[in-house]
Amino acid sequence: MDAASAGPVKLTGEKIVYGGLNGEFTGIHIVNLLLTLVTAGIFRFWARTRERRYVWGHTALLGDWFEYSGTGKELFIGFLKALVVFGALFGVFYLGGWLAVLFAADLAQAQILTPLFSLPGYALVLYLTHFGAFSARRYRMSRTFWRGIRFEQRGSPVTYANRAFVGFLACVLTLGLYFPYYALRLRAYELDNLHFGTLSFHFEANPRALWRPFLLAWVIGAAFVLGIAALFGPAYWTILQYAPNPVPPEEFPRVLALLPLAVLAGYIVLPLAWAGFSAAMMRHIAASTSLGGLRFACAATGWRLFRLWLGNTLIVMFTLSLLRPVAINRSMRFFARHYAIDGEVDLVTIGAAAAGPRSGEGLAGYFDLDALPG
Amino acid sequence: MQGNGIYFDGAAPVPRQANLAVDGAALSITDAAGAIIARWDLGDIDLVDHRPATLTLARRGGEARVKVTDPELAAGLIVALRAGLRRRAWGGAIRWVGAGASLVAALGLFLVFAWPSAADLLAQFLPESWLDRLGQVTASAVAGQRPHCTDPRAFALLDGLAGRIAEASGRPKPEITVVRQPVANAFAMPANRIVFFSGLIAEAQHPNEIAGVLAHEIGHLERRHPSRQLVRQGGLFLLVEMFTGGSSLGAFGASAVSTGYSRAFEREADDFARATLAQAGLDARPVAGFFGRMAAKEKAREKDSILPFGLGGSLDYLSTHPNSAQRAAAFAEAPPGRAALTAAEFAALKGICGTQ
Ligand SMILES: [Zn+2]
Repeated sequence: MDAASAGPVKLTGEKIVYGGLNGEFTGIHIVNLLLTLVTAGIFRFWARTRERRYVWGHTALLGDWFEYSGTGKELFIGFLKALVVFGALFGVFYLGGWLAVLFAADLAQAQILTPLFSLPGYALVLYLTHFGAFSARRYRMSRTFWRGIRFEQRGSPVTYANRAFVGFLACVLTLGLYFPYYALRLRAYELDNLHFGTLSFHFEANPRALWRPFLLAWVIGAAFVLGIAALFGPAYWTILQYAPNPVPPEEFPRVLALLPLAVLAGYIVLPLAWAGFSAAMMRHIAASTSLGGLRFACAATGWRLFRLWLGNTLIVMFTLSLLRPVAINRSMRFFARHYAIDGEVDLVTIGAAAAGPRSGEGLAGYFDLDALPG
Repeated sequence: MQGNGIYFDGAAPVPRQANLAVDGAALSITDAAGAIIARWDLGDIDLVDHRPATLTLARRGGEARVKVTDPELAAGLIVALRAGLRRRAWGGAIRWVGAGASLVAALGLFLVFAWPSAADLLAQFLPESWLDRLGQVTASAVAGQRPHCTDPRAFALLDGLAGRIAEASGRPKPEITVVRQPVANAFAMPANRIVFFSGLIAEAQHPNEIAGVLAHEIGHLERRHPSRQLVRQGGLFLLVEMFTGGSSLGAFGASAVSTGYSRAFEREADDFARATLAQAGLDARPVAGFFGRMAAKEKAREKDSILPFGLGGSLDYLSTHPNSAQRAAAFAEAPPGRAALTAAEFAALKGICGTQ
């Protein structure tokens, strides 16, 4: 009589279902905005929780909804912890920079001393951003349930942040050419350490498969940036001459009247080039991932990804994020429509995972990183 | 109340058909053979999800889930659970949000009402060497990479005028720097420094206009406005950066002095300027003309701008010193007095940046 427990479940092109409604979700969002406003921003942790509950709760697999069990209080406490840690570190570098200025023998020496504080400060922010992003993943996964079984993100935020930091430096040194390796190495660490209950995800990618789409995006991006530099370089030089004061109107470079046009072009050309690569990466990541006997597939294309991005950007921009839920719904529907699961899994063999961290997000809440698309 | 449902035991993601019944203050869950699987106190039940047809429940803190698929039972249960659920869902939130919001509000009140005076007090205790360095840093930031104007005769005239005005007010002579910058403005910096943009000297049509600006800036120095402003804004900046996770170390260097002072500071500096000019026997009335011309020029510029979004607006005297009509009127009522420089001296001063 317990049909599902009788044997392995076989999935063929199984889709995730997303049933979020624009009106309902926007209603929740508007209340969130108002409460965030009247509580001087404090409600935003509860707002984020309500938002996630809605999205998770309207995403289903095999007829059962996902569940987000996190609370606003957990996010708030995580934020306070991050504030203490980061505030202390930030204070050290900020005040250190000022003390260097105040105690240096002269201005020239101060100019050498301040980067000794500001550069490690920047590096620390970069490092903590990734540390926080991974901790936030751990928290979110531990609060994500399906059929009473939670996900678990194992792995260490320190290892993740180290990889991200080194990878970022490699990207800078190679003018961005290292990026496909960087992105896939991070996804590999996330997915290889991800579990649904006791069942582990596996990820085996081949960065070489992404070379062609990446180079195309890189060449288009580089050509655009060089073109912009050639067009606006002289004007920038003029502005630099007066910095930090504005250029007097008589000498104001007229080419800057083209700036809005260039920004508009940038909003089309760069994302379009990037979307082609992003879609290739999404497809590759899905195809490289498995969960027990289950395989994943993604059918996203660059053009559709670009349309999703453009639509979401316009919706959020023109409604001052009032209709952000509509953008989130569009992203989730895109996700549901383009991903499919195949293969066999015996659910009885899956056990419960460990409970996960007690408070949430920490640094990610601090830097306002969010898992929700849109 | 009873009906069908599905039970997930929290140990494996496997659905089990279950019979659900509310008896007394508990929900009892039995399998098809009638054996009891679990009994949950209604007071212990959390709502996971609520759809028109189905209801998903959890035992608080536990991982087992019950999906109520019988619509009638779902409707009955939601009524039975509602009051307790709502109290728990919002009760905790209200306490925490309330505490957090009160903290932020207290911080905001402190910043608005107490911080300016606290910063003023703090600024008084800054060592002279720190103020001197802050002055150097902000002066070099405001001047940027622009060359300085150092024509010896013209500079001596300006420096001498500054000395006379400072002396009339009983202050030490400020250190003057003139930067070649075709923008009409001047800034007071910590540790008795004044930076002039050459545009201000070029704009002037009467020597007393320059004397007026000098006296005004010396007024800022007399009241320690630059260091007070630096501490006020430095503290705010630190706080904002900490709460937003920003990291633009040192980005605020020049902005503190160039974003303009409060109206109260400007009024103090103006009052000081008129009193000092009178003390020095100099006519303050031409200063009114300077403000009038600056206002007219700014208006014309706004109209002619070819650029959108106010790009190309400039940081000249009016942008840091608004309300010029009112200020001009106060100077127009000043008592008569001497000219600060002779016509020949004034002509020489105009050549401070050399011939260009
Ligand atoms: Zn002033």
